Amino acid sequence: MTTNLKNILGLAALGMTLLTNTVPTWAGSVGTHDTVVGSNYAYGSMVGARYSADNTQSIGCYLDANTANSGPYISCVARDSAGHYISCSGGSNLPVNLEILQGMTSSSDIYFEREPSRGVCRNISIYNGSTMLR
Amino acid sequence: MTASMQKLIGTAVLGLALFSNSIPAWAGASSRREVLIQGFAADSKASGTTAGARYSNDSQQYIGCSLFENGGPTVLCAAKDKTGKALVCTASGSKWVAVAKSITDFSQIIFFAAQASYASCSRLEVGNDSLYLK
Repeated sequence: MTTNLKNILGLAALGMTLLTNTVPTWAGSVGTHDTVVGSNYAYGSMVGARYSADNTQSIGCYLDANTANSGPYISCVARDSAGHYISCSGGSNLPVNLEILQGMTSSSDIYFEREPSRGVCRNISIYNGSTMLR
Repeated sequence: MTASMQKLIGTAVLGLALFSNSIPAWAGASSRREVLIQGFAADSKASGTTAGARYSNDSQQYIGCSLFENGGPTVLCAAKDKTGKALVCTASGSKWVAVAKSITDFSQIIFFAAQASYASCSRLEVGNDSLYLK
């Protein structure tokens, strides 16, 4: 019995070793995080939201051009793990937002504020860097 | 010998199973929609995600937009679904270019146009959201 147990433990360790040798260690500095939704703001990392343990949180921004309006229509949306949702929108009167959103990547960290009375997007910012990579 | 081999393999598999339970399942919210072409009374609509199309099971579908010079920056968007149905449109002007420039490898793209050769785009929407990450 003791020998069998030793065998099992030894071979289980062998299995783990075989597997861990195929998994990269990825030790570098990491700053990805979950989506946080506040009263008039939200922030989160694309990677943190997409690969979170829950099926709820997300964060992102949208651009929309159509023949009926003069400039791209911008909106940002976020939902945290508890289901709290916030969105903001802003039109072509805020071209700086457009420039910023064009810098988004699949690993961006995003922050935006919602102007309380009209729901316009304010202070959109993104961070693209190594700490935000998956 | 055979029994030993069976025990060896079985236990190694057990080790792998034990270890794999500690690896995150990457459950997060995800929406990798494949390309869909829909005909409506006014315009047809193409929609889909870049990741959904690229990593679909068929080798037909795609969705995306080109940017090129044609007396000014011009956008050409094209999509084909898994049945071979396609939609193409073009648009010129800064608002269309601004939206097309924001396309990434994790975008959702939606565009509307008449089902005809050289049709003008009537709408182009690009969403960059954690939902669309692979």
